Amino acid sequence: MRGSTVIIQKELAENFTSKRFITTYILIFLSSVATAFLGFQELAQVGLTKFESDVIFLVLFSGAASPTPSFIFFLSVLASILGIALGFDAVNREIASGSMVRLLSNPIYRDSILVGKIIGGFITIALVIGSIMGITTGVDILLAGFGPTLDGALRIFYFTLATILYAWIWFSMALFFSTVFNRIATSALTSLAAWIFLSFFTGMLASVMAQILIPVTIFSPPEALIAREELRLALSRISPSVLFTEVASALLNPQIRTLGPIYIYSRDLPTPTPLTIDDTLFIIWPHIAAFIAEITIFLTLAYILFMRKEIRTRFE
Amino acid sequence: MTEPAVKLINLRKQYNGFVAVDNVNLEINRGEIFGLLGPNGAGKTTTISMILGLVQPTRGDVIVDGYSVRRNPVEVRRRIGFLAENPGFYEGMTAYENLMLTARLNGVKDARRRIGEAVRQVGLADWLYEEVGKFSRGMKQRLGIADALIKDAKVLVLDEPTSGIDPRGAEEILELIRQLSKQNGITVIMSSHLLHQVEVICDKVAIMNRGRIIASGTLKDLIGDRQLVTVEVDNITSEAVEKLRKLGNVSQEQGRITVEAHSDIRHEVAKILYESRVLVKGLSVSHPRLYEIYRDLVS
Ligand SMILES: Nc1ncnc2c1ncn2[C@@H]1O[C@H](COP(=O)(O)OP(=O)(O)OP(=O)(O)O)[C@@H](O)[C@H]1O
Ligand SMILES: [Mg+2]
Repeated sequence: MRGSTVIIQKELAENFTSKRFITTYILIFLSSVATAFLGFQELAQVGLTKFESDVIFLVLFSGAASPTPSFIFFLSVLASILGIALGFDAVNREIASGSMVRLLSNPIYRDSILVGKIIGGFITIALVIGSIMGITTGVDILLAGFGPTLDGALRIFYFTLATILYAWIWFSMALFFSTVFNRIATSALTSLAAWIFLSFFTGMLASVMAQILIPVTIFSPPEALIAREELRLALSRISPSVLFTEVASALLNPQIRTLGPIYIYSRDLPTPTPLTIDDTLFIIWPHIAAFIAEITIFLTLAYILFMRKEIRTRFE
Repeated sequence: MTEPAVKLINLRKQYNGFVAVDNVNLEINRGEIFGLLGPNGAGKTTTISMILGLVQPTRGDVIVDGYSVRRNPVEVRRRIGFLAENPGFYEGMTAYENLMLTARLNGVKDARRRIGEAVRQVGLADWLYEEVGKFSRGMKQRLGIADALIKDAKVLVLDEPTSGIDPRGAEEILELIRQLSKQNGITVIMSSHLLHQVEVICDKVAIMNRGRIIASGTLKDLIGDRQLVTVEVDNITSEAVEKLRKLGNVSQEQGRITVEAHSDIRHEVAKILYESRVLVKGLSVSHPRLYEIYRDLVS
């Protein structure tokens, strides 16, 4: 696959020098460091000594200590923006500018162009998120004066991987739209609309739908309540951002034992013993599988469409 | 007889109900410059796209250097340098970066030297490290030719290489194409609307209309023995025109009458005009130009 390798390098070179990318990167970088810093200051007011070394880092990332929007929230928004920014015009811009025809008139298979674009985008995302998590953790270590334990470090590492996967979902979705629509404006708007809907409205819609399907009143038996709650959760999990929030909180909060509805009711129970990272990975595994499934579906659809697409010079 | 460099066999492209290219058969010999002519929508770009395997033919095949574009599109593309109407360079990259991409996609060894040589040949050596976004249309076309040189293409396919370029620039590009073809024995296929340009550089042409080839061959083949006798007169009687019509196709335009026939009929024309007492100010014979043939065929 010489073609793919060349395209990957081209994509990386293009990504890392484009204004759009640099702007997004700076945005993500500044907000990450700022959130880490603010979170730390709030923690410091409570008194650092109250925490065990591990918990500090996890609390900083999850933002549990602060009333400001948490780092998880920031990161989920920024990771999705990064994915969309890299994907929404990846295919149709090249078709519109004629460079796709030029690439295709070389002795390479059509697949290798799409594969190159996908891998190039994946690597870019991994580098950005990896570097930002690395820098933020570094800032925290500097501020705290000590580092996390192995379990804590592993949790941060897996959290980074989950965030990368999460950004890949949005990249794959945007790339798919960029293959479906020939007009860049259309693929941009569709990607944005899908993102806003899935990130901000699915939760609300899931509640409404669940209440319609399983009407619950204060007189209803607890079973009905649980059934409705389970349905609401299942519906809201259509949204990758809901899945991501759950995965992130499980990874950054070893107290979380389950991602089911029970979690909600178990908050006020006596603090359970923290889970090991292995146990946490076990409970988030289905979510990770869902991430991978979503990525696979979008990329497969994009691939099929791209292979059958009529790519010609100038056709209105 | 050696195998033709490019062979189009029963090539057809259908979009839903609409036939864009209909049963095209052509043979283009090695080293030949071949012009593909036709009005807008004739199917030139579609045909060219099928030669490169960018558009899947509904039926038929293209053979390039013995390779079928259906079965072996990669081998076909290894041999063809393609310059689309819009050359499609990355505008944010320099000429060098763009050419390097091509070199790497083609596994070209010694790419740096080849790039240097190619830009020298097309006269862009001083622009190698400039962004392509700054280039004029003509420069981009020339860079497109350099792109094909780097691939060491045996066949150069150009879709309207001079569209949107000023007359001097167009002439230079055509001259460049002609030179390269003659020096390196490159087979050239180019589409165009600009018949006087095609006439000058093409060894053979094919005229397309509504997806079909309606004429093809050398200019001589197309012209055949057709001759045009043109007379300049002050005024002419309709009676004289009637008589001229018996000799062949007559067209009239402001004191200029042209009679088309299959032999030199100057004597006959002069005689009719003399007998009709029409004062003749000038009389000449010529072969029709490509434009006249094209107009007759396409109308
Ligand atoms: N993807 C498509 N779907 C439907 N019709 C198409 C498609 N592509 C081309 N056509 C039609 O096929 C016909 C031939 O188009 P083509 O671009 O090959 O013409 P052309 O000879 O290159 O014209 P021009 O001189 O304007 O470049 C046109 O009528 C065009 O509308
Ligand atoms: Mg065309």
